[in-house]
Amino acid sequence: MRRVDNTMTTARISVVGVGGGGSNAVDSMASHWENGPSLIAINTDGQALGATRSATRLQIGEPLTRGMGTGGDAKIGKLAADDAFESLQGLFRGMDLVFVVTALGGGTGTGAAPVVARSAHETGALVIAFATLPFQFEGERRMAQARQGLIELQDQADVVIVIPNQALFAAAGPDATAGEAFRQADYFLGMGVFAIWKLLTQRGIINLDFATLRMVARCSGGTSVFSYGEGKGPTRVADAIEAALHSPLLDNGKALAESESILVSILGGPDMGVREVESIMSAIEGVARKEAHIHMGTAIDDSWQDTLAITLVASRFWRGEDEADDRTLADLSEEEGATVTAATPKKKKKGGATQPQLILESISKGIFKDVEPTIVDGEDMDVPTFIRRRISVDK
Amino acid sequence: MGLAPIVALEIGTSKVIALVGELREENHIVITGMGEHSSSGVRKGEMVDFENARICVKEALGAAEETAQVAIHQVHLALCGGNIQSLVNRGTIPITNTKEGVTQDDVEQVTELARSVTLPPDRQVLHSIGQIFYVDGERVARPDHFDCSTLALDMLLLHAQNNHLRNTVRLLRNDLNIDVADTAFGGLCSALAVLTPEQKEGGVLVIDLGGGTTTFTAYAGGIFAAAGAYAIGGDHVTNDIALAFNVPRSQAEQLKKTDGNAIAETPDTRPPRIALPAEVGYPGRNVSLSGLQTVIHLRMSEIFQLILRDIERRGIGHQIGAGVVLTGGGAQMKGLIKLAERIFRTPCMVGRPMGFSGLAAATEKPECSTTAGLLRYAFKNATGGRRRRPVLESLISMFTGR
Repeated sequence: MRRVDNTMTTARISVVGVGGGGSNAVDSMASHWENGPSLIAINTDGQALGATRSATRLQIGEPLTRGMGTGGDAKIGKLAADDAFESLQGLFRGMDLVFVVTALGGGTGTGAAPVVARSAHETGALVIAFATLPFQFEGERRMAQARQGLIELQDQADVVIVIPNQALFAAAGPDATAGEAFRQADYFLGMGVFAIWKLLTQRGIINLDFATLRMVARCSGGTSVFSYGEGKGPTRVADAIEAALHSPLLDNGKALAESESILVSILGGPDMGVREVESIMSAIEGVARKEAHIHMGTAIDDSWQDTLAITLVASRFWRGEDEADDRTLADLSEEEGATVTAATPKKKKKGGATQPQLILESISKGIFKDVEPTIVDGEDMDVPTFIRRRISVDK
Repeated sequence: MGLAPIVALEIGTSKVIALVGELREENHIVITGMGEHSSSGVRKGEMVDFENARICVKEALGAAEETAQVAIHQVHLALCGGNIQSLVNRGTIPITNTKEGVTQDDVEQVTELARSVTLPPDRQVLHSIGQIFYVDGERVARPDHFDCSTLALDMLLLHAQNNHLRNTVRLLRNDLNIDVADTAFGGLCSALAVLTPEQKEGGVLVIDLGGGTTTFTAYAGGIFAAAGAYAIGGDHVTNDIALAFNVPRSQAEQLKKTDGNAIAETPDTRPPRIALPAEVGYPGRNVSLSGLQTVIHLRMSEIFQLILRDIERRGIGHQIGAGVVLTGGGAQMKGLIKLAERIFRTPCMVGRPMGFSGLAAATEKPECSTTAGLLRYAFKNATGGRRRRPVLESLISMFTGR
């Protein structure tokens, strides 16, 4: 756990909602936040875009859709974003962290979000995507389209945090209406983004800086899940633990036990003490695997007096820091600035990078183990694509 | 008539295919014999186990002999190894004869010059195909009699590693007593089998998806503009599946063929999990359909993206107006056309051999595109009175002492 307090308070962060669902979620954040990160809404539907409260609005695919949306066709969403690629890069230039928030299943969110993530990534930002999967009642077609979009989004973002809406339905109770369920989804999405943003910008008992977040993001593989729990009053700690750990989003806690990496954010008022943080952490360590990489940070906000919220981001896959790509470590050393000379971590990286890669090859080449490898641009194509891209596959 | 039947042989990673063809009136090719045998001893398009490969080739040729009722002593060989690459070389000469303009001698001289490139010692030129003439930098179809000061020619050169070619020729010659009459790049053969002249004119990309390799051939403006190969194929998809779900290779192959999709189907009415029976060393289990789709999708879109990037680098990415034609055994995968359309952003289709008659099995399957196209290539050269290429001559003399 790193406790270096550096430039995190000045990290440039933007939150971009893609498509109708994504824009709605960002919208609900806008109404709760003051002095929050810059909010951007991107949509093909001009009318829906006009109604958002985001500071920046970008309509894409205008000639393609005549401003009428994609009609649920992800192909059109993708084309629209492709055409606007340069404007997208302009939006993200200079950003350190971009949250891409989207509801997968529809046309714009599914098709455009991967392109938006790629454009942000190419400008050098860390990209954390929050994506909801459709409710069952939205139909099998949307679900299939959403799954396809998820694969593509995983390809482009550093981390994709998945929120299966159907699980929220279970949480909302048997009588919940569709409208309530959607609002609940928006609220959870908003809180997820809010918690990470707070973590980076607010001073706490234990700080989690941007470099650590980036390391966690790049080392965690593919799809991640997240949960959120809050509590108020004297039982706030126990309530928040109960809600976060047994959230339906974590498959009632099962996902946590299978995770290789867990990011914990604790948000509280000035009355939050070390003892409370400790009891939260020991509850999490109690369910997590022994070898799991747990990173934690706290944020204190004056308006959160007597209130506490826990946000967990759990990933099933972790590759060692040594294996993370060159850029990560080079950037990390930059981040550390004057205290560390650039040469030291670079040297370490070279030594560390070769060995884990060898292990990876021997276990994951199957029938191509003994034949001349197919190397394209330095990548060993005999290793399955899903392993090289660190994408988790439903077994 | 008078032209003897020609035998086209492809020693592929998953199949050995031999076709016997005869040329009838008006250049129509009739396929009179066919032999195929599942391949072993070949990985990524190249022989690794000669004894097994020999048996497979012998079986396939034997079956072809039987159906065509001919004795096979000579074959034309398709080459599909992942080591095949192409480059465009420009030769330029000054034109000094101002009276007659460009002469036939000049054309021969520039052709020779454009053809001569220095390759690493382990590589040799497989095909050299003239593309575009330039007189004083202007494109012309035919340069004859132009009054100009320079003449240039762009030549597309396909080159391959010679040790693989040598090994194959040696195996056929020494162990099976079969002479290799000529060799050709498999991707080019496939294109000859499946394309119409209109497609070539409009610009088209042919992707041949084999078991061990994927080859591509691009035409732009009626001209053969680029070609290449990657040693990535259907075996990689199978291997990915085997590793993802920890199932034996045979089950992975089965999963790929019966349930595999390159892109999610909408709506998908199939049950979300596929049951697998128990096999020796593996308990019976079931695997997730969407997981299977993810594995296949990632691999196939990676292959397509490699090819897209390749042709974009060569500056012909935007010239494939007539679309993309997928052929080879791998082209039959469900959802592949949709995926290709998404990546190449142009209409895509499956290409099967066209304009052949005779054995129905051969004329209908995309995996026979290469050998069928090789027959067309061979007959074209035979009727065009083309000499045997010096490259092969030297190779053959190495083994025969001629």
